[in-house]
Amino acid sequence: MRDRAGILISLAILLALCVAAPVVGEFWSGVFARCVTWMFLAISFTLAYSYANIPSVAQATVFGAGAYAAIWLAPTLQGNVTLMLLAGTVAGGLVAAVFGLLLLRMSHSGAAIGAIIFAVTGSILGNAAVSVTGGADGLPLPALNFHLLGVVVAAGPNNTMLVLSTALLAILLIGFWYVSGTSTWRIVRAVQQNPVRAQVLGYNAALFRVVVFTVAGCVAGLGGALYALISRHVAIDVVSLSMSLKSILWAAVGGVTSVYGGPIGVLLVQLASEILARWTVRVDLIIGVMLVLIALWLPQGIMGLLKRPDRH
Amino acid sequence: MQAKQNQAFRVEGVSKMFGAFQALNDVSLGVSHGEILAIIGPNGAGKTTFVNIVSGVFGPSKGRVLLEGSDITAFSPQRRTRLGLSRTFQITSLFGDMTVAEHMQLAVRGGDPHGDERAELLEQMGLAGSVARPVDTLSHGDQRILEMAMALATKPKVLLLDEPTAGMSVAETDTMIQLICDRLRGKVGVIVIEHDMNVVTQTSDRVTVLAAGAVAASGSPEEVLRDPLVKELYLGSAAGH
Repeated sequence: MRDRAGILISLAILLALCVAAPVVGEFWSGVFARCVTWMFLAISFTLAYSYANIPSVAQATVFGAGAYAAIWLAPTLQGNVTLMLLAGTVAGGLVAAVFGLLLLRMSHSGAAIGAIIFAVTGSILGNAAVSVTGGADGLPLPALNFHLLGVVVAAGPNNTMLVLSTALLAILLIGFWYVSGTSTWRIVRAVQQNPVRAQVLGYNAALFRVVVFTVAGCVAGLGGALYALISRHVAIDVVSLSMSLKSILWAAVGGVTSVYGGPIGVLLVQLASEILARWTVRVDLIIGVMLVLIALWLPQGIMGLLKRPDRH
Repeated sequence: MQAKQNQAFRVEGVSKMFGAFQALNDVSLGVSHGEILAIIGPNGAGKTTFVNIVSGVFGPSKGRVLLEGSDITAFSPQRRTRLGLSRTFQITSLFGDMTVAEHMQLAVRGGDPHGDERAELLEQMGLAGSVARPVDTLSHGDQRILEMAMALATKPKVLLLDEPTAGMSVAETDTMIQLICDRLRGKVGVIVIEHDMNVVTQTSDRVTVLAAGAVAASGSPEEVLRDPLVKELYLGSAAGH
């Protein structure tokens, strides 16, 4: 079941960001670039929650694993951006696979609590291991000559990194759009809706859930690695519970039942926050009211507007 | 003994404890290839526990589950299905946003690439005209028939039907009885869990009565219905005197 409207809207948004960036200036290019990395995190939450059926509030921990892996391995990889992104993706996938195997042994509500414990534990351990993580001050991206497929790229919140991030996100979304029309994805949907029924049809529901959760982790890890390259710095607040909660907010605003909702949610919430911050200090209050309104009138988020009310 | 060994499916000495409560107590029964066995019993008799143990939702505290002589007691539900033990659910259990065709594609698990067998099965089950419809737009009766079509598409050796006519109208029940008799009898071993005695007498070759977690009676439908204990269980103590 491919969502043509969803993919077209998402690609249009990404294209608009790349086109607008040179016009709106360096500051907004940086904001856009960071937003794109958070879109990976929002998509990761949606995949974990809506398709692996795991209410994970530890996705920022996975995102942080990708970010730290990229920074730690940058000198060893001699600034090879492709390998750094791969390292972040693998790190995110590994952390998610471990979390997933543990969370699947719990009930649905137990898994939510378990994920909170993972997120808080990750934060505490990260703060304790200052020599490894840099703690609250964080770790800077080493000063290296970064290169991608033989071309030198400047790390930082710039147009080059924005284009790289949006290109990767576009490839990811197009890939998802393709996969969502395959028989394998039909099994994922079946497992998500009714795991017992899927098992009785001969499918290993637990395996499918772990694989989807691990893929969600890879997505978050890739986003984390991009974040490290764009921010040129990673601090422990990236893996905090509040960061995970933000990912839930983004996914909820965009529509938690659609992978294409996350990017819309990130853009709406983060751009609104940036703009409102120029006028008021009560940004969080206004964003909170916005979330309540969306929860009341758009429970399926912005993407819910695209769903036809009656298929009969 | 030889007959027991040749049975398509058999449970031997199965007991299940939930804490101090004994839901099943030393239940042994079996079904042969092509035979239809009905399991009846009042509420709380242990039928649901039996279904869950047979399908692998949870394991027994004691005893064995055998499929064509092989011990499958420790196998997962998906492995049991792949080996040929399929089931339907008491409460209709479909994937709400998928079409009839998508359900059948899921059921064949990559087999039947051209869809010929699926099309034939749906034709025989009277669902050929509903292939493209989302299942939540089907009538309750058609949803139950689709469940059976899906179970048959897994090519079972043994099929467990959990109250197949629950919630059906009289006409839908008659259709289901017809399907069970035409499509299943003599082809696969079937265990029917059923409350409706009309369905039991019209479809089953043998009947086993569960009461308080144990086998209370067993035999042909006529024998079992004449059994004073069964009359007492179903009609109250006055009937037994």
